Amino acid sequence: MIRDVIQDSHILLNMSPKDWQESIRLVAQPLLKEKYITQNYIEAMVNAVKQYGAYIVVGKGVALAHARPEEGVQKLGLSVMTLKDPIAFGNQENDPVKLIFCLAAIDSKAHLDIMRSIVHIINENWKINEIVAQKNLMDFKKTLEKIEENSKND
Amino acid sequence: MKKKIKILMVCGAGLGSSFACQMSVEDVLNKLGVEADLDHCDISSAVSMHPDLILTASNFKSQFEKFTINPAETNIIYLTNIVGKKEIEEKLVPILKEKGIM
Repeated sequence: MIRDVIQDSHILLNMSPKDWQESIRLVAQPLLKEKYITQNYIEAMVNAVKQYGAYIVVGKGVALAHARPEEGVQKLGLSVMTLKDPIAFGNQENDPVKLIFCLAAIDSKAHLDIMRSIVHIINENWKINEIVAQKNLMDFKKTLEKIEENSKND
Repeated sequence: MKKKIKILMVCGAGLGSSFACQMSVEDVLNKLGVEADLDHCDISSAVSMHPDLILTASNFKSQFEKFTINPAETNIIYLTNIVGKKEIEEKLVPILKEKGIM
């Protein structure tokens, strides 16, 4: 479950970064500050998009910023950011992005539950829209909890 | 007994998008009643794993074209939406039929 790993300080709402690159840097800040990841991990996430394209935009309007554990993950973590104005990442199918997760994975398996929750969200447009519509922390957490409970029955 | 197909989901880091893709593929295969051996990895390890089938995002096409992948051994499916079950099913079914899995 997302709510098992996400701390209040990892939730950034209604933000206004100027482009995709700044979006990745911004959503990663809480994890950097709390030493889940190093600065190098942030550069690796940005470089992955520069190198391979915006494949991290995994659903309609949803990006999953991530890189390899050895690029600088200290512990398993997740942060999330919603955007005031959607931003194009360069993914024809799923742009513009309004919800960004930043995943710090320690190996290729431990984050299975988190990924399952994220996939359940991005497979349903209404879930994405409802999450993005929340403007304060309490409502955001309540909505996330409701959606994760709902996904259990999928 | 039918042969179990080995399917590999591939992305840049091998644990985000590819993992997400694997979960959607799992759901599609369950629905179709097909048993398969599923795994995910990064693009640099993909070639050495010799899967029957690779699923990846369409932006990796140019990278894959640089590799020498034997089309008789490995099919590659490029997805515009890496977790989209509808697209996965549409592109997966013909290949499963061709390989005699379905």
